[in-house]
Amino acid sequence: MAVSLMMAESVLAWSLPLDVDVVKIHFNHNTGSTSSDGITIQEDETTIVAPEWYPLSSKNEESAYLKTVTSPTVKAEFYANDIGQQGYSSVRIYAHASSGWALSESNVTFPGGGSGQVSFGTSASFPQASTVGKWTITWTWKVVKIDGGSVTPFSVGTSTHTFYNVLDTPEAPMTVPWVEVLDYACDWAQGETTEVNALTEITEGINAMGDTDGDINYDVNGQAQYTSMINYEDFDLTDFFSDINTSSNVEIACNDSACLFNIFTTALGCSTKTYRRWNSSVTSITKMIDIIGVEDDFNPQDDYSFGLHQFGWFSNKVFDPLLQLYNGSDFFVPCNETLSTFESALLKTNNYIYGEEHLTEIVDN
Amino acid sequence: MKYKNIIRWFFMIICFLSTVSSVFAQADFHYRTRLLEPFVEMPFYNVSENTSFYTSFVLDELEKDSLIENIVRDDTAQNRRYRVDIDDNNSVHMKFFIFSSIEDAEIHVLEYLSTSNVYPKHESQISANHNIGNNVWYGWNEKIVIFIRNNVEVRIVDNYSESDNNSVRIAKLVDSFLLQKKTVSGSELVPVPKINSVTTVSSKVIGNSMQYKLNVEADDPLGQNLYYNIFGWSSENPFGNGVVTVSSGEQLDKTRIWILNEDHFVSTVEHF
Repeated sequence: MAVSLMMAESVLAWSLPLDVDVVKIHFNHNTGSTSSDGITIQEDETTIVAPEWYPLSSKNEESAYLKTVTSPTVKAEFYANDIGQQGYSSVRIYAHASSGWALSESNVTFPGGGSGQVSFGTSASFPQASTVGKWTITWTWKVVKIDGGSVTPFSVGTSTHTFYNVLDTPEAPMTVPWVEVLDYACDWAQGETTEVNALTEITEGINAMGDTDGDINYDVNGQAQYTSMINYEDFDLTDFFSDINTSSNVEIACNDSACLFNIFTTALGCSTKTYRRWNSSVTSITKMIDIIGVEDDFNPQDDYSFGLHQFGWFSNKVFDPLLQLYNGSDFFVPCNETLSTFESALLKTNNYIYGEEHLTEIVDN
Repeated sequence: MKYKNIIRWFFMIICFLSTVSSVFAQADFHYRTRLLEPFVEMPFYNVSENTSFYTSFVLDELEKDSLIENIVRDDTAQNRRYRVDIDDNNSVHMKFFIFSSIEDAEIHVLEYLSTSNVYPKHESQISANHNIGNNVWYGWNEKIVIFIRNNVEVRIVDNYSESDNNSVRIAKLVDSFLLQKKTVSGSELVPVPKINSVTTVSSKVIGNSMQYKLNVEADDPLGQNLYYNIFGWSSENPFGNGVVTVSSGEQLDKTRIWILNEDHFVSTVEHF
């Protein structure tokens, strides 16, 4: 990204273009800490490593932060082809954003032409939001001083970045969150600052999630499609993402939606699990519910046969993305309900005896 | 008069014996142990060892029946199935599998029964008596019907129809066509895929499970694409390069691999 600029003679007396390129940007530059830089994430089952932005290698990858880290440090690398030949040694640069997160000024020198990694603090006036979310920003890298002398700020390049904020340190099975997961979870929970609110948004998000024709349907067979029915924990996330991006006929069962809740919420740093209720031989029968998807998206009916049922679980409260309960006037996605309240609203005949927590494992079939 | 009484008694005795033998025949079970906890015994009616074998399904016959409006392929992202339309407001989904042995068909159903969330019940365990298949199971108020007729397994699931009993109606229709269909006496005439070998490529621990990558070498006598299914997973994925991944949980020290071709002929092999 070469940028040539002719400086205004009234500010600084030089006569040739100043070639300064921003060549690399590092967001997760200290993988041993998350207190002032990004957290480790992965895409396509490959860990993203800094520099996340490296156009010469056609690389522009996402970064993610804890929401408490509102003023992270970013490291950037520059190259100046001929600044030394012109008798100059340093410039002062900052990253301007038309809105949102921006970086404050730092001095940049070019020993041998390259700057090495230069730290940029976050602008005190433009910190990151202290909420969950996903943002895309474009930074304009501007020179404001040359060898200590002020110049009319001029651009030496732009860079565009997508980054995510999560509530807390991600947990298993998403200790290293997938970008594909953050794309959904941070969008659904955009602006949230508390666990319960974020979990509620994610539960409702999964309930409304779509494949290529806009909805995911319930498998009436009660057969999980992406979850192992041997342990109710192994989940084929690669297959799931592939299918929702390519198929118009994705079906899931409660085990799948529960595991999705576990995956999307642990990526945000919530200590969630799934919870399975069952009776060894007798099914339980539902009251009127609107189950996920199903043809026209809204097709409430009762008497579903739930031999077992698995749902999201956080602090002994139920979050169930599979269905919407009916309260007499409205349908709603059950979130933050006690087990007894939930089952009372869900089941006409409750024959469940057993209950067990599960933690999802990501597998690839 | 005396002769008439003798004849009447004779027929009464014949009817009584017939009823008794029918009851005993119905009660002639064998049991297969559920594959996951609880390891309860699951009943199957015995089937004659001399059963003949189907070498094709009855899709053509179904399409021509006046009850059926249309049959279309309606695969999900993970499963291969048909949608059988009765009219605009009534349809069912149908899957079928053709095996080279009755035992394979029963084990395939056993896997389904061991992992289904809706707990279908064998006919003998409930009051349903629709006279379908050699063995039949019902779930969700008979909206789910699974039956085995000789070496064919059929699964019918109601597709949110307006009317009740669609699954039973279609299952009875399918079974009636199967009963009329020509069979062969030798299982070797059923063109199931041939599994040549299964070898473990690699293994690793994931949580409480071992995950194995297996290389399965198989050929299809019809030259069709192959799909695989592994116990515990309902997905039927394209066979691809023959490498499948199996997670073996705490409850499982061996697993079964199923190979399907496009016409739903199925082979199986147990591994470990």
